[in-house]
Amino acid sequence: MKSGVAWSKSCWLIFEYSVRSVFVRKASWAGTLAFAACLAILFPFSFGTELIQKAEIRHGAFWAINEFVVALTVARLFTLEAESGILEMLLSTGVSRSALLAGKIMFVVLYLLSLQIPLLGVWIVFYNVPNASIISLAPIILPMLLLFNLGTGTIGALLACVTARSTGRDLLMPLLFYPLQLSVLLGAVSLATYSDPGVVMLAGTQGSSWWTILLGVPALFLSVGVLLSHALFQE
Amino acid sequence: MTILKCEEVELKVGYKTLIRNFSLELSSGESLAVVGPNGLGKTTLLRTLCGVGKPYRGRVFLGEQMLWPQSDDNKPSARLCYLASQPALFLDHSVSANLEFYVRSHAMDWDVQLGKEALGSVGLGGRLQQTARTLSTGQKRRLTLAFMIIVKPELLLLDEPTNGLDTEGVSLCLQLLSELRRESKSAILIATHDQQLIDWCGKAVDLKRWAP
Repeated sequence: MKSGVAWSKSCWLIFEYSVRSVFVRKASWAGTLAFAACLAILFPFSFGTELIQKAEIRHGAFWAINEFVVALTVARLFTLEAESGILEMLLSTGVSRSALLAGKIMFVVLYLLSLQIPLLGVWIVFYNVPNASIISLAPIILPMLLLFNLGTGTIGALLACVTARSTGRDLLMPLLFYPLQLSVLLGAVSLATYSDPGVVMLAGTQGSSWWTILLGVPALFLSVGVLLSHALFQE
Repeated sequence: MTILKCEEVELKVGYKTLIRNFSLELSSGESLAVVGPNGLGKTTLLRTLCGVGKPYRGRVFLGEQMLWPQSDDNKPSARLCYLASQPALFLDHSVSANLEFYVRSHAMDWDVQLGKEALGSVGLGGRLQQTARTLSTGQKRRLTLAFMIIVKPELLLLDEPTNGLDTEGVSLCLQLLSELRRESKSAILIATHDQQLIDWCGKAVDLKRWAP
């Protein structure tokens, strides 16, 4: 019981200070949002302006932009702590390594969501999403975003721990991250497309399979992370 | 009471052996300076003793708890305090936020009044809301001294603690360490080249003895 309380306090401490760091360095959050918004606006032009009206590309575009946001966020998840020596200090204290990992996952989920909500607005405006689609998508897009963020955040935090103190971090992160995260991305894109009445889909996989993937991936990687938390941060 | 015990520890960086068969015992209220030329492994030794680094061979105990080889619950004691040669700070956060983080990460509750007193006693009383980035090197070091005042660790591992401190700062550091050793019975291990600190410790081990 006592160790559970200590674990929760440590987890909250990591989450709280990660959030506070965003508040004191707003430029990083605003910069990512501006970059993603520019992408959202410019992306359709790569297909030619006549295609902007087509519903088929809008979901793919939204999640592709999300991938850029994810890449920018996950790549520097432990950078601040590693470069300032805070990570080393934390590892020498009583802070549980699994709490450190869990705190960072909680932070990624919230951080990504804080960027995705304004991006959703940009997407609705620039991709001519009809009213009917917004109404039908709204109840499904939020849980989907949460699960996407949880899956992505769990994989990202796990890999960021492993590579935090590696000199090959910049090369290793994308090489390891994208293949593992692909199933989460496919699940999110497919579910969003299935849920949109404006999109006519050919016969294919049922939506429930994608929900299973969106639920299963974070569960799997979270378990691996907690079980291997000692080894994850070891030099 | 023995706080720190190392048995036959061997440290490597890559394939290079730094020290071999290093053994040490440190009891509460005792202080010891670790000296030796640059690159011999003083910092690596301290990082290993606090659980950040990993020895190639040997055993390390913190009190009754075995830190190396890894046991089921090998995370270091909450009452261990390791201060690296470069102060570990959130540079964009305030002085008081940094102190709060440090205190809470040592599983202690944050007491604002206690924090103010600790900062006051290291000469940072008027700088609570100042961003850590704007502090001088010596002031950052003083902030890390404030951590020690609050945490009162059982084992204190210090890597070049007087780096960047002026004469007054060095005296303050020695005074604080003396208080911790006397009143809190902290065991103190210091990696240093500073003769004043070596003299204060009273005992010193030269790592050259264990170099291969």
